[in-house]
Amino acid sequence: MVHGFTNQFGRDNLSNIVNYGADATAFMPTLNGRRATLYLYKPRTLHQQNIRSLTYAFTDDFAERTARVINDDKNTSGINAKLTNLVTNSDSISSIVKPTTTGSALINLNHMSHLWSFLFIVDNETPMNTFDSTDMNSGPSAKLSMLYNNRVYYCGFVLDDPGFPERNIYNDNARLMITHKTVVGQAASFGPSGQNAMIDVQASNDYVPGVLGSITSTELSSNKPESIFKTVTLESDGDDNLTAMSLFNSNERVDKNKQVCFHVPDALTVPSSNVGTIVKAISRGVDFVRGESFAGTLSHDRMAARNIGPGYGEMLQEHLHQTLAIPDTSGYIGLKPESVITFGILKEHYHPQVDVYDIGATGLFSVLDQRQNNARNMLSSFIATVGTSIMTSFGLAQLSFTYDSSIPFGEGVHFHITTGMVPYSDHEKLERCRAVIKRFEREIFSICLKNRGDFHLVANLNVGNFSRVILNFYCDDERIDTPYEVPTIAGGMLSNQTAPLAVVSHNGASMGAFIDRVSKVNNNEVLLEAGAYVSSAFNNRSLLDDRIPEPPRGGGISSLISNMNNDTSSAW
Amino acid sequence: MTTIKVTDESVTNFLKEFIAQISMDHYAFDADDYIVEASTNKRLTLGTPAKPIYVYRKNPHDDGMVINPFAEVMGRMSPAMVWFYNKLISSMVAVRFIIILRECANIAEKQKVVTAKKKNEAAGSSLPELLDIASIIADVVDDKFKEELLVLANSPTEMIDLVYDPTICSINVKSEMIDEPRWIKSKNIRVKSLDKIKLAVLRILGVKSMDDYNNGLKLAELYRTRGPDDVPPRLGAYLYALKKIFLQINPYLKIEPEAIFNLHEFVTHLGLLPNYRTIASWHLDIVAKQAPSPGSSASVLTSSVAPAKSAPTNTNTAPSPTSSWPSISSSLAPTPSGNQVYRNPNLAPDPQPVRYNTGYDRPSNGGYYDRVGGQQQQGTGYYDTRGPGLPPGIPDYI
Repeated sequence: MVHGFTNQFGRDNLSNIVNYGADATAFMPTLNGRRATLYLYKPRTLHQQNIRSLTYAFTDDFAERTARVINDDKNTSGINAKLTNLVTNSDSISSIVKPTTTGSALINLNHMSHLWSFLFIVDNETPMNTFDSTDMNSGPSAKLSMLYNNRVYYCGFVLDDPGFPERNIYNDNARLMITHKTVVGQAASFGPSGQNAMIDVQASNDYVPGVLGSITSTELSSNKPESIFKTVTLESDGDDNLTAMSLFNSNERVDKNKQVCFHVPDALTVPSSNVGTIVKAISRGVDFVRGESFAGTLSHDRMAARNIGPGYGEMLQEHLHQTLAIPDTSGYIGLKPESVITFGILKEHYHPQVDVYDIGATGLFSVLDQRQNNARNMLSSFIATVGTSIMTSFGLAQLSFTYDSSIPFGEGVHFHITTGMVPYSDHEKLERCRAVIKRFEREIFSICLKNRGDFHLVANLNVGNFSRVILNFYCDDERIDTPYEVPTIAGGMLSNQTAPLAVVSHNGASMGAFIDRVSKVNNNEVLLEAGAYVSSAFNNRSLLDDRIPEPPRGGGISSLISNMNNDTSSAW
Repeated sequence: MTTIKVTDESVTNFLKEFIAQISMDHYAFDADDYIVEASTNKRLTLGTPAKPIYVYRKNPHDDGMVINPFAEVMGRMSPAMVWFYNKLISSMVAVRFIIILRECANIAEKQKVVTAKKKNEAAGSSLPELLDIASIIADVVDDKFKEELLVLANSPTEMIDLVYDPTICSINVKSEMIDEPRWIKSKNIRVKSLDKIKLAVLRILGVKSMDDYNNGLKLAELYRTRGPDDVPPRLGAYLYALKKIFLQINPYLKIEPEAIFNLHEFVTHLGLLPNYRTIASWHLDIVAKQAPSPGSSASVLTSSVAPAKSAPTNTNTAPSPTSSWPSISSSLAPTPSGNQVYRNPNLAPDPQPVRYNTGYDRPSNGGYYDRVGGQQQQGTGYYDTRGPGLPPGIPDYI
């Protein structure tokens, strides 16, 4: 046990629960100068969580539209914009991605209720001026970047006894498990008005720790597109057709013997970004293979892929393997979650100020039981997990709001609490909130609407603490005021890019079918309007509904009718 | 129009009533919305390991497979959805053709020769359509003809089938019996009977003669159907195709009222499909790939069924497996107790799909690609009523 951190104990934020968790993120200092602050949370009640992973539900019509975009624009100019429009179209995205219901994985997060958790914020000055080979926060890459200042957020759990932080006594060997890391940069902008500072989120990643494997009975693995694609491979009989198989690389599984199993960029947790990654990779892959098919006509061109041997499927597959992988772009700055990090290391490198928070050992209100598979739980989880990812990309740390989808023109939203990841002016903060809600409407609310209908939402989303959601659909008779709670601080432990093997297998099949269809549909323009084609043989038999005969009364049909209940929808 | 408030119960009721109707009340539902055989009250189970199946409901069961056509997904379909589309809908449409032919054969047998005079007399009755068909087959109706209909009843989707083409999100009505010249070689059916049956089936579907058919009135084009954009593509295509087909064949089913598909309210429900989708599409069943176990349909497909080219070329004179007509319910195969399908083991096995190895392009002869159980099915598209994961003992036909 050693002494050494600057301690600022004493804030008892009990009342913050009632206020839906205003906490450390409410006191963000300005991003100016070097400083490090460690916010330590005393152990608090964590409930069982259900990971509701993103599930692909690619449909035939979406594949058809994607194929049309890719095939119509053979010169690839502007194709990315068209694909982005296709994917971000709310009609598309609301149909093709949804969280799992029956395939979810129960995480016994309550086993971690005895652990301290933390939020660690490091402000760095311009790396160019502070480059030091011994400084973990600087390096050659950062030196050459356009970053002026940056702020790095880490959150996670303290795996060992931290000592007595209230008395400024720390266990130097206590390990920190980082589950999330965000880098917010202050980039330079030069214009007629001079130099301006622009706040931008440079990177934001979840880290899936191996601990996850020991608190669930479900075998989990990566659900990222690049991982899912590894389940899509060639048929063994040599046909040039992609098909989904459950051959899965064990390196992608959650292994309790690893410190960090894999990272998940926040962008992948957002449906449109996730699907956009796939669609654009296919587009590039098809373009690549198409180009290579010409190269094969030259017998002396020994570099042409077709001359080497692989068929269409293999070439496309190889290309997709390369383009789907997304590296950890936050790795160039700050702590690496894969390495062992202890209080001692923090003290040595950052000399942080420490704030200790006691939010109470038990919750003051009940939360929804996540084990139940129903639309409310599923979509509440979706809002809480995806919402925080989107907020992060807009530089917001906390957003408390109510939203009613039945009120048009964006008038159904009311903001209560907003906190930026760095301090913003009131005007900028409001602008960012509006932008976030617009993105919510496109990415999240459209999925809720399409999959369940109009709803009323009360949400408090907090990237460094707990997110709570009260979601009521108009089609449900009962109204609830019990929140669905997700400890956002668990980061990668609850990422929707982690999934049971069954879900990954399902996604692989869906992705394989989608890639197969998109890459094969070429000039098939046979499109018919619904019920429009009536041959001359039927001209004497109108399809108009008013010509449909009255139902017969007898036999099984009468028994069916007799079994009808009072619901008028059951009448045939 | 009936005013309907769309709720979870509305969707559940719609699916329950649809399944009951299309299966002619062969299936019913228990209190937990599981599908049961109406006669035995036993739950229908599918897949390996076998799981009971239930229709969409507000609170899903953890131990079963859901039938929720409103949550549609490309790729692997669950055994429950394979059953719903391929076994239930497609087969039961085909079974109704068998019913019509059976009744027409009975009429023709009684009247033996339906003269023009009698037709005129019958015009005032409620069954002129049946008399029309009866007159077509009158020449060939005898005891042998009944056995031939039994052969058809063994695999009715070879006679008429609804095939979903995912590349154009449409249903094509196809008939291997009519379109495939070699089909008869594997069947115990006389050529003259087949000619009459073909004409009867075409007449039921609105094509007056084989000449009309050969000159362009192809079934695939006549009944190609694509659903509206706001309905899941596969579901929309199937249901709107059903509307077309039953508008055409319902008059022929008057003699068997239970077989009539009630379009009167069905059309109302078609209009509500977007609303049902909004309510129910959240529940997507996850289907993990399972290794085929011995005895499962997947292994049957690859091992025990011989290819078409090995089918006997001579007329099969093997005795009929049964002297009685198969009941309507016998055409719905998967049950926990095993196969209820009438099938003569001495008959030639089903021909297998033609494998294409053309790689990039679609088959040049109008074949199609579909996916069942994660395996890409390529070929003429006639045989995709088979799905994986069915319990041991369940044959790979109807």
